Amino acid sequence: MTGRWVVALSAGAFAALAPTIASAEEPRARYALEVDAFGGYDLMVQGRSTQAREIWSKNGGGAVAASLSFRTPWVSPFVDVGYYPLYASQSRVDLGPSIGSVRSTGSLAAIGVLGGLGAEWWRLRLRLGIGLYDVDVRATVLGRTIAPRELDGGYLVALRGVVVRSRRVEVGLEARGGFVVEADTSFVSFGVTIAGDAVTF
Amino acid sequence: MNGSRTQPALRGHGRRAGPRSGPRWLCLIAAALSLAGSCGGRRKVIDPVFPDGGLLRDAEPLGQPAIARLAGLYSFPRVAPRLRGPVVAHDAPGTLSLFGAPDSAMAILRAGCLDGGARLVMEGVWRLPREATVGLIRLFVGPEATARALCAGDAASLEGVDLASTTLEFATGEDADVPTDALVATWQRARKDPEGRFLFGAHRGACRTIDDCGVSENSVASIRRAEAFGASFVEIDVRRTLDGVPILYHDDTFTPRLSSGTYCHGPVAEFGFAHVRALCTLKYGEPVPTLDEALAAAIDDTTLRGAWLDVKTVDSIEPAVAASKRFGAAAAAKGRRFVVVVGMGTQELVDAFVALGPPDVPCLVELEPADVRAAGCAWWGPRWTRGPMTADVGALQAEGRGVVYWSLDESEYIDAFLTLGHPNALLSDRPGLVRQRFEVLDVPLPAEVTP
Repeated sequence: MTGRWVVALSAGAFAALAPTIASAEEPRARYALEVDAFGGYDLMVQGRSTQAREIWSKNGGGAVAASLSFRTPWVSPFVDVGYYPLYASQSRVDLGPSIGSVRSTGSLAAIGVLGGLGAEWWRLRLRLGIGLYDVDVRATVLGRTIAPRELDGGYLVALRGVVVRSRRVEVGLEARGGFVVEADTSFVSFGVTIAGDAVTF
Repeated sequence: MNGSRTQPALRGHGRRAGPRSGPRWLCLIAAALSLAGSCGGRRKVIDPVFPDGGLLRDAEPLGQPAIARLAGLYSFPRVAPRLRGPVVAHDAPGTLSLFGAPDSAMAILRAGCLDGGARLVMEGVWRLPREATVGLIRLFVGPEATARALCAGDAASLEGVDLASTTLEFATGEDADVPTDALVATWQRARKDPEGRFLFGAHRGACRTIDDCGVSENSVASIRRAEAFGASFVEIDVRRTLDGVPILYHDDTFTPRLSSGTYCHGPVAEFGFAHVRALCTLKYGEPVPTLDEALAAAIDDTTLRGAWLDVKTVDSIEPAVAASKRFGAAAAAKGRRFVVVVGMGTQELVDAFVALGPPDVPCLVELEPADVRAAGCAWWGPRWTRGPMTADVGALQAEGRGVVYWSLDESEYIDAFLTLGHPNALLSDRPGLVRQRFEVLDVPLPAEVTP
């Protein structure tokens, strides 16, 4: 339900605010080195698989990302670094007759470093990226904690709608989709972005 | 949203069940956004079952000697729709398997007697591994005199069976449809009996996950089914957990291709055994087995002749050698002819093996013939891509050593390596296909290897 509320509120806010500030828009530089920060909430969509009985669980969490792009009137190359908490839970698992049923806690997160191209149209910006995700596990069973991690290939798609735009800064709402190929895991994130022109040309 | 989802049957395929995942609408968004992959990843093929238990529900199970009596080569009067080519009937504990070619078609059947032994029925599942296509199969053994003799089960009755007149009256169907496509196969001849002079190896336990055999590779379940898939020995992959427990898993990293679990990601060597058991299951839901569990199942639950331990890491050599000794002795104590061969595919593994002292366990080296001799091993296991290498094979066999090519899955290559290389064994993801080709081709039998 959290995800649906985030989507609904984001879409509503964008629809309500965008027309009112359109007239205050100032022309932007045609070329700029743009710095972009994203904060929001993400949900793991694919990759949850367990035979255990969950005592509690939390899908997703607060996601943050930062990106650097070279904005042009056509396509804009970018590099994006993001942190996405994917899942956390405590479960009861049966380890067989010799040990019996025990509690297991775990968390899963991904750190993505991706690059790609973006394109803008009106107040919308679409980015397609490819790169690497550092998939981090932290799990405790029988009092012993392990923290394995693996580096997987993946993709990023981000769609942003600008709500407020000045000459050098803009604020928008963004939906992100990530897919971690080897881990067969995907997630979506919804949140706010603030972007500014660090250098203009 | 935690419940498992079962998708409806697809025409021409078995029931496919996807792993647990999130809401479908979110999945669709993610898939569309990411422009890659599919929700749920690779799906699994679940064997169909007869409604209400089929005819076997009320049948008297057929004894193993009677099942074994039916083993042989059968031919079809016309092109069969699903089990093509001369079909090899192969007995395994509790089942009779049928192996066709060239598309690796196979069926695994259980048998029972009806109407006081007047009718002998077999029911099971046929499959085409390459296409992951499955369906139900039912056959009756004829004529009635043969059925009665087999159902009687005593030695005199079995000896009196007129195999030349024996027929297998098939009916096969798509997916879970009750079989209707009828066909009659007739007895052609008895099987060749290699008596240990040629061995059929099952790669990764029985059947790789990519073939969708209904069990996971490197699982206890796959080892228990290996004979039904046509194997006389299994090859299994051994690596160690963080706390030193040898387990069966092929890759060095847990991957959704082979296993599942929300937290089942990362290098195997960084997981304790309790973590493996708590966080990971194999593709078809089985637990990741320990080496001990796998070998105990192979010895106690099958009549397999051995296991090739494909040791993956240097620190797994010592526990593999210890397991070879322990389970070799246990098998001998039970009167089982079962050997545990320690297999090594890299120089580092060979060095670690040699460092343990003079080899006193059966062993196999995949490198060069000189390495096999230096390590004191009885077996050479070259990869098939190197070619038949007939001179090397002949030289090693002259020294009393054995050669097993790995891993051949296509009939044209199996034919070439059987007829050109004259090996002592073949390792395959489809050992039933190797059996079928071995029966059909004129293959000379090498001498038996004493490990």
